[in-house]
Amino acid sequence: MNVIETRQLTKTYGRKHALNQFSISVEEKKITALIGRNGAGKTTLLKLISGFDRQTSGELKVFSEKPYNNLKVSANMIFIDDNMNLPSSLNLSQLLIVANNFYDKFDLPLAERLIDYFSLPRTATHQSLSKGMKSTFNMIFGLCSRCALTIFDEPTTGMDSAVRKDFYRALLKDYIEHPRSIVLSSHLLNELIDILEEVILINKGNLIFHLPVEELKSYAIGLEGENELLEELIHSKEIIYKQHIGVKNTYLVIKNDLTKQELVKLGDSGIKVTAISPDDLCVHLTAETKGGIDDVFNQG
Amino acid sequence: MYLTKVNFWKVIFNQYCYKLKSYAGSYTSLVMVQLIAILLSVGGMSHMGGGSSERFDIEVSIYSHALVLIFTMFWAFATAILITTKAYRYEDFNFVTNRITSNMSNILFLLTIGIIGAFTASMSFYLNKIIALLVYDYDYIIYTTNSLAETITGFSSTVLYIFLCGALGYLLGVLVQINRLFGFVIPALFIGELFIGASWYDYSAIVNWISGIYTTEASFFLFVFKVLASLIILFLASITLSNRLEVRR
Repeated sequence: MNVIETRQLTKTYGRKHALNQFSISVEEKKITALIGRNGAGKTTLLKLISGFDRQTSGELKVFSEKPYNNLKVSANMIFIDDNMNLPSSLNLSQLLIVANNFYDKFDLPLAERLIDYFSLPRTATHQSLSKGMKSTFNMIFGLCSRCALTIFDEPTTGMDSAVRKDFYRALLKDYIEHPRSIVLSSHLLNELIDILEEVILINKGNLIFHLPVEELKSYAIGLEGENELLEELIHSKEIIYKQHIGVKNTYLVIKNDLTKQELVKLGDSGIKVTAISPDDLCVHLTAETKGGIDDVFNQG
Repeated sequence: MYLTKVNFWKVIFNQYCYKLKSYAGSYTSLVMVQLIAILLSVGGMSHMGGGSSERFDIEVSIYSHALVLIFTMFWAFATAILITTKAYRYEDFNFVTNRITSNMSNILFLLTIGIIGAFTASMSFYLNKIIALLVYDYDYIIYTTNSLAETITGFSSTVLYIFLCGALGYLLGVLVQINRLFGFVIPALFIGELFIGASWYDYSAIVNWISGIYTTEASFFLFVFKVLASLIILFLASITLSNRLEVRR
């Protein structure tokens, strides 16, 4: 069954298309990452899914229902981001108790153990926490709610690297024990890649791809070699990224649809073939120009 | 997939309990507002002059908790506006909610603070007298004792007045959330009418109209009916209008 289904989903703010004819379906009980540059439309998509905002056009179903202002969706979904507005009149322990009353599957003992592990002061208010600590608390809040659909919008903002690693591990462990659908939006794909099953790449409100991580790892390859040699070999291929190295050499990223013979041929002619990490791939695919930042400096 | 079933009333109840705790700031402001009102009424609401003869003078000071009540009504009005602001509305959406449950739990909260406000305001009636006794050197304090039925009608109408102010504030708050202009236009019209009314006709049409409906009603049941009808209209308008707002950005 699909947890999230969108068809031709469009959201405009004024004239700007935050989401443009966006169609995806996310199966249940998977960990999916939503990747995109700043302003790509990640948060817009997640807020529509969470039922916080209404789409301009198109169709959107969460648990086969329209999520906007929907109590059933709200009870089975939690949206965690870094602008969570929690009351200053309650301390962290009290907030967890409130959450425990609201969410049927909330695991209060686990939440308390996690709070102690990350040494968050139980009697502090949410407002008095530092940025990273706030994110840590929000993460615990989201994780322990055990909602059928758990959405984290850039959950690691401000967390140090140790906490981030712990977070990924906690997420994975809890997911294995209580499988549920988890959607994460993040900039740090490399850190996340080991716990992910699927990746959705979005750019300027458009879907670039929605792929299992395994396919993503072999989606593209990098080639490095002499200019003429490369041009001759890959003249008909789709170039994702191009960078000049020195005067004679070029580094190319192309879609990996080469046959075995072609690969052998490349190797024989002295061209270096490298794998492309999913993170680099996403950066290349969403770049404004084929040459990246270098193009800006090469104008003059 | 196993999904949690939602019980509409249970969600409202949960939200209501949560709001009673998390909106704790409103109790502090109630105490402040009532203390100020009590201090202001220590001097007595009105004085009746000294009939004096060779042997004695009489000076009568009348004490009432009317000022405390008026202040409490303003407090309910302001608190209701406050809970319609973005920060408070968004808070609800950290937990299980939709707009109806959010509005319903707000209404229950306003009713509860109406009861609390009415209770403490009524109690201030006694505090007022004790302070007067301590501050001034009075010989007699005369007060009326009410029958149980009178006390109950008195208390419930106090609750209703405060709740009505809350409902009015809630509607104004929702209007301001829809368009900030309402925040300037409505008070300006209201206060403007008061001034113009006072200087041209010696009375304000709005105030006359409102007091004609609510404060001069002789029958208690008719009064209750009128207030309940007004409450329903005000809250229905607020709920309908709040549907125009985005849920959360």
